[in-house]
Amino acid sequence: MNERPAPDDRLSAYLDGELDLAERQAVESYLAESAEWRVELEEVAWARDALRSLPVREAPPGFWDAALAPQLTEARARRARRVPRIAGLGAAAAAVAAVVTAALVVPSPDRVTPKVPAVADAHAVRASVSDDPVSRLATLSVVTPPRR
Amino acid sequence: MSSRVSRSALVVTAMAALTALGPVADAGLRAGADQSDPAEELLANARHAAERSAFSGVLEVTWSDAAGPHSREVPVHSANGVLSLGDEGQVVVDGPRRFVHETEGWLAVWGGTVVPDVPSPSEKWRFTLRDGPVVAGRSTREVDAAGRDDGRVRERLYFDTTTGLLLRREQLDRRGNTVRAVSFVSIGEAAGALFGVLPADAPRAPLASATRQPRSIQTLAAPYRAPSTAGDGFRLAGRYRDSAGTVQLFYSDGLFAVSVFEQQGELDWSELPAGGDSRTVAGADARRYRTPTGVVTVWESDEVVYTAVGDAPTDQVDGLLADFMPSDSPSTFERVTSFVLGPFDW
Repeated sequence: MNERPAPDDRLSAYLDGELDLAERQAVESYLAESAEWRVELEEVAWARDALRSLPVREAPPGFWDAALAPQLTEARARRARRVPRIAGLGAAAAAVAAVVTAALVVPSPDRVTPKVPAVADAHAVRASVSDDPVSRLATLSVVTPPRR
Repeated sequence: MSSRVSRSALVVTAMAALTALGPVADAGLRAGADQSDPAEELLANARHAAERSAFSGVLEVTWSDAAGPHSREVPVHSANGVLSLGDEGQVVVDGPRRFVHETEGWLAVWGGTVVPDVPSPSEKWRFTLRDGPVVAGRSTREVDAAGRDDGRVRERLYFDTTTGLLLRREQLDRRGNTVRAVSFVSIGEAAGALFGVLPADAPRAPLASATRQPRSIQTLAAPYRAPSTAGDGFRLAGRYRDSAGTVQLFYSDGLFAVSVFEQQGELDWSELPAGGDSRTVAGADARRYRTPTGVVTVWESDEVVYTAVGDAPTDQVDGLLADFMPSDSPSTFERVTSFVLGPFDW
């Protein structure tokens, strides 16, 4: 009897349709049997969608030149003087690149404006399932325009 | 011969009658065995009474906001287990399914059953049951729900003595003023119904619809918050995510409910609808709206935008929101530092 593994990277590949037949069947059997796999699939799908919905942020014109020019100029000068400090320069450049990359890659939060009527409706709908549907949904039809 | 046939007919009739009465007697015995609160039974029965009864009526919804009091009338019809509400039946209930007609056509907005998931209202509320006033020409039983702590009545419910239908509900503030109400102003038999034949205008579930149903989810990772209990006796009874990624947490105390919606991002205050009040809730800046559904509160904390919709009294909603209020937010510098140093943090 095969033991079911913990959820792994195959879920992401599964969502992207990148698994071969045998792997896909294995994943689907895990999903059918395991709540843990289903929850993980949901989380992976959500994270994937969230990442794909992030806006692409371009650096302002001239940013890269301004950020890297001093280091490149210094590097060229040192290379010309044949000073054997290439390793140090590489580390410094890597650090600068890491900070610049971080500043650009760490996503600044998106602007969000909740749709007040829509969330009120969503609440009324959910409440109507656990309570009297007439009084809960009456408010929904107050704000929902008549059919045309 | 004829007397033998008559006796047989009598026996068959008696057996049929016993068979028909069996479930009723059984239900009565079970109800007695449960020994549940009669007021709670009325509440529980009202969840299905509207679908079991065939009727046509008009509801009046009243509420107040910054512009003053408002009221709207809403036609409602029920036949063959299907309910419709609205001038042109734009909201339909068919068992657990909920449909709304919008500009793009019919939308299925709910489709799944939920297991009994809300706490018993008696844990928090003390009910008083008495004969009520006549509502829309029907005699009623009145249930007053008062807080166990302070004895203040916060909701009055009026149930049809014959059908169990909830004919009126009034929500009261701490001073006893009615702040929102939904009430039948007229109700009668379903128009044009014949035995076994539905009238042409009887409510029906749409044959085709697009789906906008939220999915039930099991877990939520940071930065979202989902306390299992919040405020004064509210319990998390459902977690959902819609197609846009918005999380909905549904809390109930058995009588009132509050949904907390969470979206990652930064609140754009300038784009919020007009008509709200700026206020502070548990130390956080918030915008508050009064809608027919209840109080809507919008605020931001730790780069998550929260929108709470509560049909509970305002003080009850505020108590729940306090459990979602801000912690110390990381600065941009802290976020960048965390990103750079994160890979080395083993």
